[in-house]
Amino acid sequence: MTGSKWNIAHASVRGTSHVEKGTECQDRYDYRLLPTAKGETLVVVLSDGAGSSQFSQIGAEHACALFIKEIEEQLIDAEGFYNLNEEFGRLWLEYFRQKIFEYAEEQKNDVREYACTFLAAIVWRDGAVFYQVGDGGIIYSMTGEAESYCFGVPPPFKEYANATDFITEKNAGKKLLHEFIKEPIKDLVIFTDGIERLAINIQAGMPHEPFLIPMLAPLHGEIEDGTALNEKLTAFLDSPRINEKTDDDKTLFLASFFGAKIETAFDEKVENNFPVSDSTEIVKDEEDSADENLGDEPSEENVELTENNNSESKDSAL
Amino acid sequence: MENSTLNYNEQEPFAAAEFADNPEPRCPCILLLDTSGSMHGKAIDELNAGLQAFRDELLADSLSAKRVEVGVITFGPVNIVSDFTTVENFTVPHLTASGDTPMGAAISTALELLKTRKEILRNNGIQLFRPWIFLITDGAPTDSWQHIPPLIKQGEDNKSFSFFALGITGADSNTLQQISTRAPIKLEGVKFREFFLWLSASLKSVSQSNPGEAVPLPDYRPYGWAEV
Repeated sequence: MTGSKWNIAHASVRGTSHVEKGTECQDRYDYRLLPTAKGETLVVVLSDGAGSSQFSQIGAEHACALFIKEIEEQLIDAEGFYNLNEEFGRLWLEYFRQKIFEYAEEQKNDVREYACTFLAAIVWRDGAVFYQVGDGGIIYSMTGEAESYCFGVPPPFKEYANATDFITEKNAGKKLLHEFIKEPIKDLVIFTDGIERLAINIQAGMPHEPFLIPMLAPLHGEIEDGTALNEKLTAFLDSPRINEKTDDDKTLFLASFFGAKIETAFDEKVENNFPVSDSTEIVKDEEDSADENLGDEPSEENVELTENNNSESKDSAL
Repeated sequence: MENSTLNYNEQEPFAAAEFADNPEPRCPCILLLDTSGSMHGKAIDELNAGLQAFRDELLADSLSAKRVEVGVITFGPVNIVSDFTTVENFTVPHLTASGDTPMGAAISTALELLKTRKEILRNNGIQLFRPWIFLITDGAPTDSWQHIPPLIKQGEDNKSFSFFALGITGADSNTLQQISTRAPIKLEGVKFREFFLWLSASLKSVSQSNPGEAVPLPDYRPYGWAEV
């Protein structure tokens, strides 16, 4: 790797139903490892173009590019981290809608033809921000051990399996899910809905660890050849074993942090690994010394949003 | 679960992943079939053949076979011929024609059956596609039906189900228009086979849409029927 403290594997594979219909893979994703005031910061964005929309992969592409660009600009200075709250997400969605609307007009298409979902994570040394509109999922763990994986944002389960929200919709801001984590993250898994039924136990409403832990195992060791690992992940996502479970496009982004952590949860490990007298003194970058609370805690907003979602999908007629 | 540093195969590093064993999401579909006396003869024969084609077509598609749940209610008199069952387990009933056309009671029964089914699925944490109700008739209701249109409208508005009315020759299209929020569909002659092939193609599109997309239904025009 290139001096990064993240092991990363990612792949995106066309679903078998898309192969049959001759449509291309409508998932798009991108990521960056940015040097920031808070140290190396991982930015990941995934977008799943709607199967029913003609140019949704273009919408997804725009979403990824515009978001990465926005975050790159935001994180030029430390102040930018303070802005990564829910409002920032809403404003970005408005900005995206404006851009995609202009593009659709130029192309003389309906903006709905660019419908796509949105999943994003910004992860730095001791915290993270997640954004999600529509389906797919964000899962993380602080330790990489069993019973430690949780949802980055609560998955937006809908009444109907084929209903979701798209960022091209006017009310996308209201559908935005946002979480701010003030803890160091070890493992991050982000995926589009094609992976949902493998990585989530839907009945239990829990991340499915028998899938997640083995998937992350290769990233917990040293990666000699990242390209080869991505190729193997691609082959795995296109294997008959997976294809008999899902016929949709599937994108999976896996990341695991292997640098020194600064939280107590990791003290024990560090001690064991480096049995030197001063080993408990955890390495800490100067930039990281500020112990600020980042952004606004949007808990109230989230509750409200969740309620809205529920009431909307409520089936009162029957 | 072993710890996270479990050994993995260098050649297939991800092979150890086990997938969540989620039940397939279900797409309930009710067929509400007029089997009144006037359907006697060619119409009922074609309807039986159409049902068979419907089942065969869906069964040939492994995802649809697991996801589409069919319920069959006939009226003349109202009879739940087949409660919801996945296509895999669906035995095509042999329908015979007799009696009058209690369409109002039949629709009420369908809504009740659907409500119960949705509760069962939901209580078991099974995801749903929006249910479909298909009414096929060649006549006019012989019972009270005036309470039905608001129920259909409410169900459509709340996305509880999609209701389609299909009239064949002799159907009272004026009443169908009042019952159904969507424009009723007029079927030329008794081309049930074509209709059921379209329906299975539509259900296939729905059941193959993975969570997350509005589903464009296949064009019905080549099948020889049109909106009234």
